[in-house]
This record gives sequence, structure tokens and C-alpha cells, in this order.
Amino acid sequence: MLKSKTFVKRTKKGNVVKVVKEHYLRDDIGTGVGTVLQAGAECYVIPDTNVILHQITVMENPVITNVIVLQTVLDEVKNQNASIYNRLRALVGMQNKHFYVFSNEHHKETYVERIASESPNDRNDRAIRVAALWYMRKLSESKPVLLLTNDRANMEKAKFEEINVKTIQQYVRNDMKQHPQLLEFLNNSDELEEDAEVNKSQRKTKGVLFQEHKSEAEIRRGLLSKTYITGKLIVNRNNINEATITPDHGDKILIKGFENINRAINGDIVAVELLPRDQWTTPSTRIAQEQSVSSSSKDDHEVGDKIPTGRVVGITKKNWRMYCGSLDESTNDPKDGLVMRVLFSPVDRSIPKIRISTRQCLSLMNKRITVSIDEWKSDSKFPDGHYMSTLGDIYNTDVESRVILLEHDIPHYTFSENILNCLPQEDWKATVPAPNRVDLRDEYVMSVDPPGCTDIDDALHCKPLPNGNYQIGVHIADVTHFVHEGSPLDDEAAKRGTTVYLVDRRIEMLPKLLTNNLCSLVSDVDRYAFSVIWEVDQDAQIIDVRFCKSVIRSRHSLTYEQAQNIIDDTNRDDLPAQALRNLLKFSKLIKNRRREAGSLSLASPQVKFDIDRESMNPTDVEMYQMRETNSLVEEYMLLANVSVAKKILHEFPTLACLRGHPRPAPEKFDQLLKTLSTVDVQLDTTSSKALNDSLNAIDHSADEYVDTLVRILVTRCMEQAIYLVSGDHEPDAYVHYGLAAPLYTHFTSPIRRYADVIVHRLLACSLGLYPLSKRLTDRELARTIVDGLNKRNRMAQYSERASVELYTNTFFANRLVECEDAYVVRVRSNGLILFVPRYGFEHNVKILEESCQYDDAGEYMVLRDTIKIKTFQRVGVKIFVNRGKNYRRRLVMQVVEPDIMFAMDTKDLTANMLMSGTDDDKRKEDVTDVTGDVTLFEKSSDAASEPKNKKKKRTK
Amino acid sequence: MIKISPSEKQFLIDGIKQNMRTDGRSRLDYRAFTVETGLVAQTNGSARVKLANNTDVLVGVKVEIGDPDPDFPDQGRLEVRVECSPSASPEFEGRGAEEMNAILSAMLRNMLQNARTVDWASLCISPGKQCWIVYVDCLVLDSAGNLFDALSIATKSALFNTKVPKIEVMETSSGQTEIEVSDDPSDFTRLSTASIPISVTLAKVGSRYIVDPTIEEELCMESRVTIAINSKGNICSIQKGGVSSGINPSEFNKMLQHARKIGLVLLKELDALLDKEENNDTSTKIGFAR
Amino acid sequence: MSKIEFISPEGLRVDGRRPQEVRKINYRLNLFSRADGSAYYEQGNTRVLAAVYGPRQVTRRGASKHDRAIINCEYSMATFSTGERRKSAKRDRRSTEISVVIRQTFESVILTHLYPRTQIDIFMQVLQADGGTRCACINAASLALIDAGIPMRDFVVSCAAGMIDGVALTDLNYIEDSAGGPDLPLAILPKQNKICLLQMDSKLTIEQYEEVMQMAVEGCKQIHAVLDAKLKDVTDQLVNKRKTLL
Repeated sequence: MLKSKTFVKRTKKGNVVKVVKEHYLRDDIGTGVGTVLQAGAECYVIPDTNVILHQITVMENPVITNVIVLQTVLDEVKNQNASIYNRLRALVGMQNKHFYVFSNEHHKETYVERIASESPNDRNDRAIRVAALWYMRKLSESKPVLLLTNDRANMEKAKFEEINVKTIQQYVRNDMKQHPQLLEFLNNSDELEEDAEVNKSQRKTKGVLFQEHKSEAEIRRGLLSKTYITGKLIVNRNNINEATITPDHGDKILIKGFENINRAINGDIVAVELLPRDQWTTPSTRIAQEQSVSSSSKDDHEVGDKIPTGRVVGITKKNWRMYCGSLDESTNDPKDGLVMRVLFSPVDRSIPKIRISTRQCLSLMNKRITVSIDEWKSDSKFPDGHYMSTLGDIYNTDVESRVILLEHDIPHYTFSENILNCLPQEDWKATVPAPNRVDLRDEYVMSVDPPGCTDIDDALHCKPLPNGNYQIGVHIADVTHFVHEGSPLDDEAAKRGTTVYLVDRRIEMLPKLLTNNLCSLVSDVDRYAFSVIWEVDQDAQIIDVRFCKSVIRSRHSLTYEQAQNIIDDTNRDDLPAQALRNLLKFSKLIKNRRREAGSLSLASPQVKFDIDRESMNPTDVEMYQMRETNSLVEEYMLLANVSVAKKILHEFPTLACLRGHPRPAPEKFDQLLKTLSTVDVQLDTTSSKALNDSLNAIDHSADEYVDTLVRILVTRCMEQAIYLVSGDHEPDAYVHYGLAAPLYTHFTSPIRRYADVIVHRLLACSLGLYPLSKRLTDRELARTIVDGLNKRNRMAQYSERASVELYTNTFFANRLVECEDAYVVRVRSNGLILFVPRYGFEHNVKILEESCQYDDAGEYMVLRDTIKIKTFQRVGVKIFVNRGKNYRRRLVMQVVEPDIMFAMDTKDLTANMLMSGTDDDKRKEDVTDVTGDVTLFEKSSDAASEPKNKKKKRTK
Repeated sequence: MIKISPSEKQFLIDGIKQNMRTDGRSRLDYRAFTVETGLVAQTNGSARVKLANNTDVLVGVKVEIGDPDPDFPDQGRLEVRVECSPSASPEFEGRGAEEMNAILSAMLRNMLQNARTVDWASLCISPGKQCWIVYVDCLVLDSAGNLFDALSIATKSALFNTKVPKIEVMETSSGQTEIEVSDDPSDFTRLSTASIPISVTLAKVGSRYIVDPTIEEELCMESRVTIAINSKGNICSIQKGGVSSGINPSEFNKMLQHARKIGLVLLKELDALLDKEENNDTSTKIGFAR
Repeated sequence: MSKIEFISPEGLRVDGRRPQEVRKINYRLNLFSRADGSAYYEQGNTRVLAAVYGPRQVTRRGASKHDRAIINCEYSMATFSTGERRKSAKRDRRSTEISVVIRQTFESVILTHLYPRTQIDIFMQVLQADGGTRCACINAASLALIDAGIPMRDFVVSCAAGMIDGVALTDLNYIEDSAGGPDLPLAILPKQNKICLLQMDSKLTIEQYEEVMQMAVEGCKQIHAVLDAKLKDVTDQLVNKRKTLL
């Protein structure tokens, strides 16, 4: 084989270094017919690069089979769009699709060398034609080979070379006539004129609306010469005609008006040109009418400083994805069977409406569907896209939950075959004794969890030692015993990153067999665990700590309530009661020490829905109740995490996976301090300890809830806690501000967090129980994984909030709350921000500016000269849900006590939420457990409690 | 170290007297030489020159972007380096070739540095800031006399073969230059090599002088004159070396005339060979494997 | 997660080879007039020259051994042999290390006891480096020694293997070599089936090591087959020439 190869050298010029690569041509690459491609297929299709890029949804349709993917095409797709490349690779991996990758670039007879003066594109087109011709020769006449291209020049050359060639439109409309559903998915943006059947008549040229985008070379040059600035476009969710970019160096740049945003979509990497200084403006404080296409609105209030303002000149990287939404509610006379061009409204308010063609307009009304964008022409007000799939009925909570998952890019498909193949047998039993495992089955181990908890990942024991000290053990499910590094199961878990808890479902990181069975530390069964065992003295000072893999046998699986009852039952003095009491005693000591060190106790509103099992609709909302025992378990989890963090950082100074919580920037507190000063509350934010002390010193004699409110507000000033790889950061960054811990990591929940899985492996390595593998030592890889985990965590949080919001809305959709207590959190010139403790959410009430006197310094307003409203004041509110445009249900709140209806801005009750733009938006993002660790409720707080709370909430 | 016995030396001298050298040449015959270009893929230009079958040199030219010489801010730079490989002689092992390397490098540099040989200004990218640096690296693989001539021919050939990537220079607003390189490998410029001279070496053995001495003849020569000639027939540099006895001026003049004549013939021959090489498809080259 | 796909799902490497395939090999003996034996060897784009002198008088006084020949090795890379020009051709640590490794390899193979008080020089010059220069030099030196007619226990053939993204690959080229995976250069005596050089400086599990090792052995065997076949041809030609002369 080797000898028969001829070889060609290809020279590639990088910088100015000449790089020479060998390129071997082979004669042992087959046609794939009979192996991957079906021998009896009617036709083999060879799509060119643009057909794949534009029509990947068509290609994904089950009726499209027997496709030859040329290596040339594959490489080009990979360079241009990684996500389409992955989708194409997935297609190739599917057995029933019969997609065959033909490595034409390495085949002796199909390799083509670039001719001088030939552009790379022309060369690739030629390579595709040469490969098509080769297939035609190889397969002879009986098996037609069809080249698909929408490039006119390529098509003409192909015709001249007598290649069977068609456009994708011709192919779908004629050859695939028996599958009319394909038409739905067809992207007609690059259709050749002669094929256009619908577009010609319907698309009137309205004149150019947008400036053409600059060419790639122009952008590159502009960026080099610093005339353009690049950054990720963030569209204001409350005003789609306003966006910002934040360049790596330099200030935020505002882009106002749809023609200046110039067809860029939220998340795109764009090149921006600054406007002359006299055209700079301020971010708007008002909400534009929904998707009205208005030019840079001059009528906006322009308060505050003008900031650099620019316009988009080009898009360097598109962040187009699949969007969930619905057909525009106002669609006229929807019909089926007729191609209609209709507008699609995405759920994500930062995405513009998308125009699609569909033959099933009527059936799609009132449905959640997914759509992708194909292109956005400079003469079109809206981007053109195509229908992809139907999710189900609007407002159906199941459908809406799926929308949440899709919109937050949370992998929620069922585990695939090859992942399930990595699992042990269902009847797996722990073998004892096991090598390198300490037998701890004689210890009196118990677990304390929320009721109904099925995935028990931690258990505890505590016993007095002969020397008067105590031994405390934390036992964590030994997930890495089952999840082998680098296995498909491991890769999938890394990809999912975390288990996601929505109100009505749990998207698990690992398959059920592990989470609910083999890893779960249920009572009276031998289970493998990873144990942290301390020796503590009477004052709960740690004398010694050791780590080991172990076998345990839990005696009891208790609920928080049961545990609390055992502790409180004065008649009991048996082993479990003693152990629990000791654990509680020590946990309080440890907790006090932590407090003294400056650990914050913050708060965030958390509610729990009672859900009707049949309709899946929420029937009641309640606050989550905390017991001493919650905090007991939590304290030991924190302690274990801290001990493990120390150990792995000591063993692997550059490789440890830690969890850091940056100290918040002082200016983050500015607004809050100002607001609080109006109600005579002083906070010292110089350190976490000072902050905590001043929080505890708040005088809440007037209203007890003020204390909680302040804590909620402080929570919002916190930074997000993140995972980090120790080698990438200075030791300063390791600090966990909220817990006042110099080192912290996640070790205690490997069943539902991938970071814990990594930490388990590192800890096992440090004990010599596990080889230090390539993957663990690869910092580049570790960084990628950790970045991914941070992103997943953020997304999980957002989706959890979105789920709560969904259920809140559903809850109120079925009832009207006439008068409920609410607290004023902030007073603004044109409205109030109110917090409703009972339901744990915050909302805005808009007040007509002309009907009130607003005092900016004191942050209060006076209505009718008599009614004064200030921060932390308690008011009564009416709550109901209003149907917004395009199926956006909106919660509406009206202040009924004091009665200030006269001053309320009622005109947009039907349309919009309210209040000021970006600022409000940003706060929404930060609303709940900002850190993910410092969670928090009432006065208890901290890291491990967050998951505990969650579990309780969901699994009930 | 090659050594030669007195009788062998006498034999050589006597032969030259009778215009019959040991390899059959007459005194003014130059050995046949072969040129192959483009053998080393990683270089921007390369050439291998062999005199007869035995003197074997390989020259690789690499161009890189660097700082110009402060004395000549608007010109490119030239770096010449000769390295004698131990395959040419075991004495070249380790530091053994250092002296030889230094002598040959200096001679070659002097010959090329001459302002007119290459259009050095064309190699300027941004005056005072960036220019092309042309690295001429010579490797002596086998030696059977007259290394320097072989090196001069190979250097000219390698520079002829050199392809400088095409670049685009942009001034950024902050006054810095950014360089973009064309991604088309067929997009390159060549150096102007027409006026690069080659050298002709004459050796005085006994009372006669000969051209292109073999290694044995070098061992018996009394003095050596290396004269660089360009295609216009101009003398570009002269270097007199050797161990004993001077040359009288009238004889020197004659030598010069001979060198000029031979040089012009060689240059013509070389140009023809190089054109032929350049038109050959690179993929058919076999180079060292023959 | 690395950006370059070092091995495509179709099973082809960046340059079109399959994991177990070595690059194209070609060589030539007897290039130089002054050396006693010489060889030019190319393995893909890695190209090296080797020259052998000796057995000859020991150059360094005192180094002579009364019962065997001493071996002297020098490895150097031409300044133009790499992508970016090298500043110096000789005498960096890496060159010295490779020289020593190659010397040790051949000390065990050459029948040095036949030539007491002599010296055998092996000089290697890398003209083009595209990964695996160490192994290419051993192969070239082996050929040059054969050209010089120096008796050896066996042919020495060498090949490296590595592992990228969990796939064992033989004969890594420069891009693959720079991927940062393990690199295992191996030299064997194919007829005696013995290892005379083995280096590895990464962490690997035993299973992975065995896989990589197997690849390296496989590579050596492929290379041996190519070298041996051509050597027989060359020898045949020499014999024929001799016949015509007679």
C-alpha cells in the first residue's frame, strides 16, 4: 500500500516561515458503496460546501440518505462554521443516514493541485467536480451521481464536464417530490433566479435598508489600523434597537438604531466603526415599542453622560443558532397547503423577528416552533429563515420548559447507547474487601437529606475517640469508580457539566442507574465512597484530616425533619441521637468560627411550587423552610470542600480545580449604599466581615423583613463564583469571598456536578490511588473544561430562573391576587421596584412622572402632595397576568394600598413590563443566588446549602 | 588531513608544466559542474553544486523579516555563513572547521555585499523599521578542491532560485507597521541576481598557473588568486592567498585576463543550466537520492 | 479538543497516512569521495546525511582502547533545516544528547573488538527536519556503516511512535510531534529481535505504552523491509558490475 503511493508536497505560507507538509495520496480509499452507502440506492448525492452550510436542516431530514461528503467540503465547512460541522459529523455518525466521507484530498485520482492564479475557492470547486467525475466513472451509468451546487459558475463548468448537476432547490422540488415536507426546511436565500418560484413575486425590492457589510479583508485591515473595533454584540433585551459591544480594551460602545446594528444578531462578533463625537448618545432609559423599526430615536430622554457610539460595519463571526418562538400572533388569515411568508417571533427578546416560508401556517399557529436564520439581506427588514421543528402548544408547561432548555442550550436528550454501554450491570454489588479501599462498614454512618431524595451523595458519621477527641467522617458517593476518565460517559458528563433543576424536572448529568441507584448512598447497602475523616477536639478544632476511598454501609437515610426530631427527642439517647447531637454541636462551633472570619449570610428569595400532577400546573407557592439540620449537613460539606481544596492545591499547585468567588468591586455597592442611606441603614463594605457585621447590626425592629430585604439586595452586588484552574491564576484569585475561605472547591456532589468529578480524580491521584493521566495534566484541556462548566452553570442558573418565572406566570395566570404585601426596594423617577416576599419575586410598577414629585437625593416620591412612598415601605399590591403580544405572558402588579391607581401608567399594561432599560435588565440577570454558592435564605447561607435547598425543592 | 608525498608533488608539478594535469585537464580547463536548485523544501531558495563529482556544496537561502542595519536603514540585510561538514573531512568535526568557515564566509560575504550585486533597496519593507534579511547558509559536504568557486556558483544559483513571499505592508494609526502575507504560494517575488558575480580561482603551481585546482593541486600551490567576475565581464573582487612567493604584476594581469574569459564562459553556462532547472517540474527532482 | 484533527474519523492522519504507516523512504549510499562510507536517507520530509570514517587512528590521544575501537558521533542540523532558521548548527544540548544516544546505540552493535586501538567516526547532518530526525539519523548511520563495510551484529533500524488523542501513531511528522503527546523513539535489531534504543519521556499508562511500543516496532519492521530490499538491489548491482569488469 505504502509503496504504491505517490506523494505531493504542499507548501503553505504562514507568517513568512515556509511550512512544508507532506501530503500522501492513496489508492485504497473506496467509494463507500456497499459499506456506508447503500448499494441499491437510487442516487448518490454530492453536496458542495455552500449547500451543506445553507441546507444542513434539509440534510438532517431522515428522507435524505446516501450522501457523499467530500473531504474538501468537510474541511471548508469546518473552517467556516464549527456548529454546522458538528452537525454534519453527527449525520455521518448515524447509521441509517448513509452519509459517507470520501477523503478525496488523499485519493490518488481525485487530488487536485492548485493552479497558479486559481483562487482557493475555484480550486475546491474543481476538486469537488473531479471527485464527482471519479464517482461517475467508478459507479458507471447504473448508479447516478448527483452534484448539488447553487454556484452558477461551478454548475456551468460541471455541465460542461457532463456531470449530473442540480441546485438544491431543483433537487428538493423535483427529485424529492414525494417528500414535500422537505420544502419547509429549504433555505432559498441563495437560490438561482431561474429556480425561484415564490420569491420573485413576493420579494419586492424596497431599496436598500442597510449598508453593505465590509469585506473580510477590509475588516481585518480596519481592525489592524484600529479604525474598527471588534467585540461581541449584546442586544438590549428591552429594546431590540439598542446594543452594545465591550471591546477587550477600552470602553463600552453603544450602537443605536436598527440600521446601525446593521443586521447583526445578539452574540455575533462584530466590527464597529465609531461615529463622530457629536453623534454620540446615551443609552435609552425607555422601552421602545415591540420590534417597531424605528430609526435612532431622537425623542429619547437623553440623560446622563454620552458614551462612544458606533455602527456595525461587518460581522466577523455569526452566532446564529436555532431559535424557539412562535408565528407572529397577528398573522393574517393563516392557511395550510399554501406557501405563505410569515413572521416568526422568537422567545428571546434580543432576537429580531424572522421571516419564514411555510405551507403549514395554520397548523403552526399557537405552537412553539424552532426556526433558524438563513441570511439577512440588505434590502430586507427582517432576516430570512426556515422552519425546523414543532415543539408543541404554547403555554403548555411541558412545552415551555423544553423551550427554556433549548434556549439555554442545555443538553437534555436521553443518554445514547454508547454512553449507556459504559454503565455497570444493574445488579452491580460492591465487592468487599476491595483493593485500596478502607472498610468503614462498622462506622455508624447516616445520611440526612430532603424527603424523597433519591440521589444521596453524602453521608456522615461521628464517634468519640478514646483520647477524648471526636472522629467525624464525611462520605461522598464514589462516582469516579463508575465514570471512567475519557469514556463516552465521562465526556457526556463533562459536556452536561451539571444537573439542571427546573421546577418540574431534573436534567441529570449522569444516567439514572448511577444517580439513583449505584452511586446513591442508600441505607443498609454496601456502597463505595470517598471519605474525608477528621479528628476534632472538644472545640471542634481540626487535629487531623485524612482522605480515603472506602466502603460504607449507611444505617439510616434520614430527612432533615427526622433528624431534627431525633435531636429534639429528649427521651432518646441511642447511638444515632448521640451522633447527631455531637454533629450539631460541632457544626455550630464551626459555623461560628466561619462567621467570625467574615463568611457572609445573605438571602435570596426562594419559593417552592406545589404542582398538580395531572395538569403539571402549579397550585400553590410556599417559601422554603430551613431547619437546624440543614445547616448541620451543609457545614460539614463546606468543611470537606475546604479540606479537599487544600489537599489538591498542595499536591497539584497548577492543576487544582478550585472554586473562587471574587470580592465585588466597591462601585458595585454604590447604588445600594445610596438607597440604603435614605432609610438610615449603613453598610460597611470594606471587607466581608465588616459587611456581615453591619448586616447583623441592622435595626429591623420596625419591620422584621427589612433585614432579609437588605440581604437580598446585597446578594445582588456579589460577583459570580467561578471554577478555575489554579495554574492560570494568581493565588489571590483562589479566595472565596462569600465564605471567607482562602481556598474552596467542590467535592461533595459528584453525582450532579462535573467539577466534583474532576476534584475526586485529583484527590485520588494525590493519594496514589489513580494514575495522573494525560487529561488531568493537560492544563489547556482543564481550562477548556472549566470554562465550559462555568458557562453551563450560568446557563443552568438562568434556566432555573426562567423556569421559576414560567411557573410564577402560570400560577398567576389562573388566579388574581387582590392584595398582597410587597416592599418597595427602590424608588425611581418613573416607577417603583417592589418585592413580594410571599412569592419571592420582584416586579416593577410604573408611575406617571407628571403625577408625582420625585426626590432624587432621598429616593422617595410624593403623590398628590400627601402620599409619600420611600424605600422599604410596605405596600399592598394586586397581581395578575396579562397576555402580551406574541404569547408573552406578563405579570402585572398594581399598588392598591395606598391607593395610587390614579398615578399608575396603565397604557402599556397590555404591552410591556416596564422600567428602565439596561440597568433593570442587568439586575434581572443577577437576581438570585448570585454566586451559586452563597445562597441563602434567612440567616443561614453558604455553599453547600444551595444544592440542598434545590434538591428539597424539586424532589418533593 | 590529506597529505601528499614529495614524489607525488613533483609528479603533479611536472604534469602541469607539460599542460597535463592528473585528471586529464589542461591548465586552463575548468572541471565540469552540475547545478541542482530547489532541493531543500524548507528554504526559500537552494542549490547544490558539484565540481566534477567530488566537490559538493549545498546552499540554502532563507528570508526572514527583521531589523535593518542602522547604517543602511532603507536596505535589506545579508547574512552569509559557510559551514564545513565533517563529511568533507574528519577534521571538520566539532570546532575543527571554525577557521575554514570564517575564511570562506568572509570571502563570500565580501563578494556579495557589493552594492550592485543585488538590489538591496528592494528588500526594504519599512525604512529603518523592517526589512528582509537574506540568510545564505552554505554547507560544504564534500571537498575535492576549489571550494570557493563552488560556493560562489552555488550561492548565485540559490539566490536565483529564491522566492521571496509577497507581503502587504500597512501602516496603523499608531505608526506601527503590520504585515500581511499572501496565502497564495505562487505569489512571490524574485531577487535580481543577474549581476551577482561568480569567482574563478587560479593557482600558481611551480612556475605555471592553473585554473580550478583539485585538492591535491591545492596542496602544492604556492599562491592562489580568486577573482570574481560578473556577467558584464567586470571584475568585482580579487583575493590573493597562498603560502609562498609573490606574483609579478604582468603575470597577474595575464591571470586576470584568463579569469575574465573563463568566468564569462562559466556564467553563460550557469545561466543556461539555471533556466533549465527552473523550468523543470520540482516534483521530478530527485536530489541526493539520485 | 485540540483544534487540529490529528486523525480523522475516516482514519487518516493529517498527511493522509493511516496510523500504522511510515512515511515514504528513500536512500542512497556512497555519496562522498572522502568519507569511507556515506549515506543519504529520506523519510518523508526528514532528510539526513551520514558519513563514516574509519576504522582509523585515534585522534584524541589517550582515548584509545586496547581491546576495541572507539565510536565517535556528531549530529548537527543545518541552519536551514527547520521552518524557522536556526541560529547555530552545532553544539546545542539537544545535538549533544542525540550524538551520545546514537553513539551508545552503535557501540553495542558494531563489532568493535575487531579493531582495537582505532576510532570509527559517524557524522550526521540533518538537511531537512520534519520530525523523527533522531531515528532517521540512526537509519542513515546504519546505512553509512554498511557502505563503509564495518561489521555489525545486525542492521539497526529505528522508528518513533507516539499517541495523539488516544490513537497510537507510528513515525510522527513534525506537526504530530508538536502535538505534545508522548514520543517514543525506538531502535531495534530486526533479525535478532532486540531493542538497542528506547526513550520515552511522557506519562503513559502501561496499556497505552504497550500500544505505542507495538506501533514503534511495527514501524521499524516496515522500515527494515524497505532498507533491506533496496540494499540487496544495490549489492546485486555491485556484484554485476564486478562481473562485467572481470
